[in-house]
Amino acid sequence: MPRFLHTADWQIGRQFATLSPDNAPMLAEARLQAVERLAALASAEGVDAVLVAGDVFDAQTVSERTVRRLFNALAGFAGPWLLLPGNHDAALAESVWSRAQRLGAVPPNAHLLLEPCVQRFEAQGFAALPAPLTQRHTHHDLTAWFDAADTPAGLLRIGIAHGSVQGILAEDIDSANPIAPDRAVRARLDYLALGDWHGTKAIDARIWYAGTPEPDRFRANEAGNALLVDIAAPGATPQVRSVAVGQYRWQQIDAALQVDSDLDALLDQLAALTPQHVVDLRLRGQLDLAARARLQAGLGAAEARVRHLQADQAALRLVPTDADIAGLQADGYLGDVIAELRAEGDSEQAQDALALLAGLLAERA
Amino acid sequence: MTMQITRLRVEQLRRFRAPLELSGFTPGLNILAGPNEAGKSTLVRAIRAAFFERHKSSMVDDLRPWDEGSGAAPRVEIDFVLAGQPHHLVKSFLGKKRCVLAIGTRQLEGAEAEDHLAQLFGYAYSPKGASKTEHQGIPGLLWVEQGSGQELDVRHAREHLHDALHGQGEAAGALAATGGDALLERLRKDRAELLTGTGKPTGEHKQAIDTVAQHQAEIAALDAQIAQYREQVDRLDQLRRAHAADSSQQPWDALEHDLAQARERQAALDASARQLGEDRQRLADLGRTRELLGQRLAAFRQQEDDLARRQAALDQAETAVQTADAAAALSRHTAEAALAQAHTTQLQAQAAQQQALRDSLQQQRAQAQADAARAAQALQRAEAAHAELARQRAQAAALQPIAPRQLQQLRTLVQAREQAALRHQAVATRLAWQLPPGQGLQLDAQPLQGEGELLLTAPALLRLPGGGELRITPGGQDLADLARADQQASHQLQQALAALGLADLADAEARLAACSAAQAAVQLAEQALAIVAPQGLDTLHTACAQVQARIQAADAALARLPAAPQDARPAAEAAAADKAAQQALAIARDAHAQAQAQQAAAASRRDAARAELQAAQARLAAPERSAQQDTAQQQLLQTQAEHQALDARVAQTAASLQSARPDIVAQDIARLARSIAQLRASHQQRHEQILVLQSALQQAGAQGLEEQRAARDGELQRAWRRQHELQRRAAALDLLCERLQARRQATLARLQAPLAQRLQHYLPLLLPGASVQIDEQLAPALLTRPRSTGAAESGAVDALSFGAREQLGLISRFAYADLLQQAGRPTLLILDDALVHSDSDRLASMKRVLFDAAQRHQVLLFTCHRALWRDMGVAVRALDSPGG
Repeated sequence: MPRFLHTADWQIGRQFATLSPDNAPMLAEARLQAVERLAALASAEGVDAVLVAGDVFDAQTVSERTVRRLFNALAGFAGPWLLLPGNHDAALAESVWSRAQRLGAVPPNAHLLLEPCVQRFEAQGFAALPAPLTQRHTHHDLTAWFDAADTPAGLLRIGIAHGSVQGILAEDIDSANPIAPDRAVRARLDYLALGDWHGTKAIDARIWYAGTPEPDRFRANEAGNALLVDIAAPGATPQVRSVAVGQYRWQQIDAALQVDSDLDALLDQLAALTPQHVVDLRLRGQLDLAARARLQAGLGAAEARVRHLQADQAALRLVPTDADIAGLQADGYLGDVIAELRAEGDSEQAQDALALLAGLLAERA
Repeated sequence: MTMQITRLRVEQLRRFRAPLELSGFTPGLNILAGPNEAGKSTLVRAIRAAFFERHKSSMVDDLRPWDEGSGAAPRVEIDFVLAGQPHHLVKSFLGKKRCVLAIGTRQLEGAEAEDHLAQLFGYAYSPKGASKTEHQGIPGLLWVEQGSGQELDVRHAREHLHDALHGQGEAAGALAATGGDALLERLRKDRAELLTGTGKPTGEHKQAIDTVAQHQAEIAALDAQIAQYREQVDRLDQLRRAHAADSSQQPWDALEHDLAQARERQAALDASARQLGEDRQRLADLGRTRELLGQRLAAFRQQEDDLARRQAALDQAETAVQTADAAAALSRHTAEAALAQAHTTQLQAQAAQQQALRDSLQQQRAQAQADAARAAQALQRAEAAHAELARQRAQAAALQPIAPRQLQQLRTLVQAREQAALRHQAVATRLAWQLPPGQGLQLDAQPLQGEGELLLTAPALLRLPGGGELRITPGGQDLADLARADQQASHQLQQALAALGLADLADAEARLAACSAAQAAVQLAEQALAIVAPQGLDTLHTACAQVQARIQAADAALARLPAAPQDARPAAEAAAADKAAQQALAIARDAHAQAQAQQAAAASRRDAARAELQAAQARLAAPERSAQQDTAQQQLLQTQAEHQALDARVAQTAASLQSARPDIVAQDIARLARSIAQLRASHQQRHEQILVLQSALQQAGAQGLEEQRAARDGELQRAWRRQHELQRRAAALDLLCERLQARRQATLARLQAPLAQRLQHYLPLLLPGASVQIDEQLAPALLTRPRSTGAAESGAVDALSFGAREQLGLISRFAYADLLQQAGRPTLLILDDALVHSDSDRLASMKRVLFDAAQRHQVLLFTCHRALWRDMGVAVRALDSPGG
């Protein structure tokens, strides 16, 4: 009974350079580690082949070192790796794949699916029907040829493609690289392994997006998994199991702070974050001076604990209470200016100025 | 709130070892007068110490009584009424540190009492050491120490003023912000780190902006490289597809097939063209043959015509010969006549020429003869002059010559002799005598008679008649020398005259005159000779001889000429006639030569015509001529037929060749060959391009461009974030600085108005018509006052005299006191020796000001000039009077 490990969207070479220089290399490294864990998982589960449905590399011109490290990371599984070019690493006239071949980095058990033609894996009992991208963007369905492709009887027909199943993910993915939603039926596929969507998602019983094994986005979309696929025989319904392999948990937290209890809840949430968290915090609402101090303390603590924390406080207004102001003991024209700045409310500059002044006064007190 | 000190007591304090108590202070002005050292300053110090110094302070040693041990406890008691409430303050220092403040029945002690006072009056304590100006707040402003009335530093009182005036309505609004100025300073400093004075980014802020720009530029460069890389990848793809398509389709094959066909067509056309060329050659040959035959037949016909023509020509030639002969005879005759004529004229011309020569020779001879006569005459005159010269020279030579120098010597000798004679005679003995007639004496040999005189220079013997003798010997010792000298001079003169052959001096002068005359005559004769023979006699002789030679030469030439003919014509006429005759002869000779030549030519032509005629006759008579003519006729017919046929074929072939357009066929071949070459070349070129692109892409790919770009992008994001943060901070700082500054200014302005109003209450009393502006430090800054001319003048208060500044300083303090009083704060003014620098007018004005202020405030005025303050309506208390 053939068993596959279905994964996709490794995006090796991705740098997360917009994050802090301390954290970015760790997150980039985590992607290679995910591949190593996949290899270990494949070995442990005794799969017949690993299907990688596109976007192995994040870009065509990644460094030679990155190319070599990726293929080295495959060492943990000696069975066949089927690597499909996606839109990030399309099989162009000159591509990361041709470079890898030139470098001699591709191990013999790594099968590069650079051309749309049937590849038979008789020992493993299946025939692969790949739909590699050979251009950066394709506006026609590259899986169309599956319908007419013949494969020896008795071998499973396994489609591997990278793109957007039409009508299902329209709102999130651009229309390039379309895939017909009924392709599995029309091409008599036993399983269609898809990549491009970074979350794990079943289109139907035979069509699955594996998602990226290591999350790389804040939007919660079931990333960080791989799929173990068992197919009893040609025509049998695949048994698909999602296995978590991701290391880091990317989380976006939107918090509206209006009353003190809102801040309490947020601080609790921050306190619960672990070193595996990569957090994008977006704050809105308003704070008085005391609350602001608590928030800063909470953020400082969380930042020290988690892998990465970025906090957008642009929509957060500093609204000092009268008691805050009294506490600052700002009299005379200082008091006048504070009153003036408070009255200006939403102006970013006034907010900044108020915070600055409050800070200095607090320092003085 | 009214404040009034009612009693003051000091003990064990500086000079007041024994207690001193002053009481009966009035609510308004109190004047305390005393001479120096009377203790005014001690009292002032005591009041200040009671308020400003902590009772526990160890830094008040100056309060210790003089010459007193450490056990002393300086003590001050002050009773005052504040808002109707009696206060009693007792403060002792050093030996017994204590402070008690009784307010009605309430009692405060120690620091509590002190802090209450500080709060009430608006001052602070020094945290360490003695109280200093900056601690003394409002009292520091209102209590004027000796000699400091001109200084008005409101700074230290500002915060206390603010506290005091806070919440007192518009007139006494917020005066200051606690620590506001320091905060503003700090903010300005922070702002300056990010922005320049004009609001441009600087320092880290600018650096951040530059960094962003730098990263953006780097990313743009990388983007360009990536775009190029992608473009090259696409290009490589295109090239590979095209190359593969060409390799499989071989598009040049079809063209090569077309090319082969075109080449075959060209070969056929070439053959056809060659045939045409040959035909055309043959056609031309036929044409030429036909022409030759025609010519031959024509030649036969020509021969017949020729004979008649030759006969006619011969006849014509004969006639021409005869005509030429006649013309030759005529011309010969003419030439001979011309020759004869020419001979005659030549002879005549020669004769005329000889005659002309002869005339010329005779003329020369006559000229020579005339010259000879003139030469002979000149010679004669010259010889006469020569003879005269010789005669004169002979005459001159006959005279014995005498030079003027010699004459001069003679004159000198004559003079010397005369002088010698005179000297001789001077010493001679004079012998004078007078004898009657008939009586005579004999002197030596000389008889003396009658009357006479003699000088005797030598001894003489006078014989007397009758015998006797008188021997006379002249006296003198040198008579002999003088006689000798006289004689010698005479001798020398005689010798010189004899040498020259002269009798005497007159003779010598006559001879010199004669010599000069003879010399002049010689010179005259020489001059005459030079006139007639300037070049000498020989030249004249030579000239005579030459002229004679010319005469002889002319005679010889004449003799050689033949005898003159009788009828000689003038030479010019004869020459012209001869020339004409010669020309005529030449013309006649030419004409004759020409006629002879024509004669010979005519004869020759006649002979030739005769020979040709004979030849033509011979040709016509030849036996094979007829057969040849027939053959030629036949051949011509055949040739014409063949030519016509060939001509038709050539026309046809040419037409078909023209329609086949061999030029276009050749172009087709070239075009196809080039196209094939091009296709193959571009195929090859594409292959090379593919190799080049592959290599370029391999290199570019190895650079990890997109990884680099992602890294740069991260740096850019961070730089941008930093820039944004700094920008926000800069904007916030900018806003804060601006707002604080504006508010501060507005606050100052708010206080300035009531202060100015109070100032203006007093100022006219001192300076009528004047006004004063208040500066940022709330002190008078600019004084404006009318001048005597009516115009206003303004000047900085700082620039005023010490006295004027003190006056304005006091007025300002009164204004502050008024404001504080309005705000319900206690006011007490202490003036220690104030206004000592004011002149009497100003002092009088200031007294009015002071009196007015004292209507509202208690004023303690300490002075050492009690007489000055007698007119203030209050008793002047003498400090040295006990119990005052």
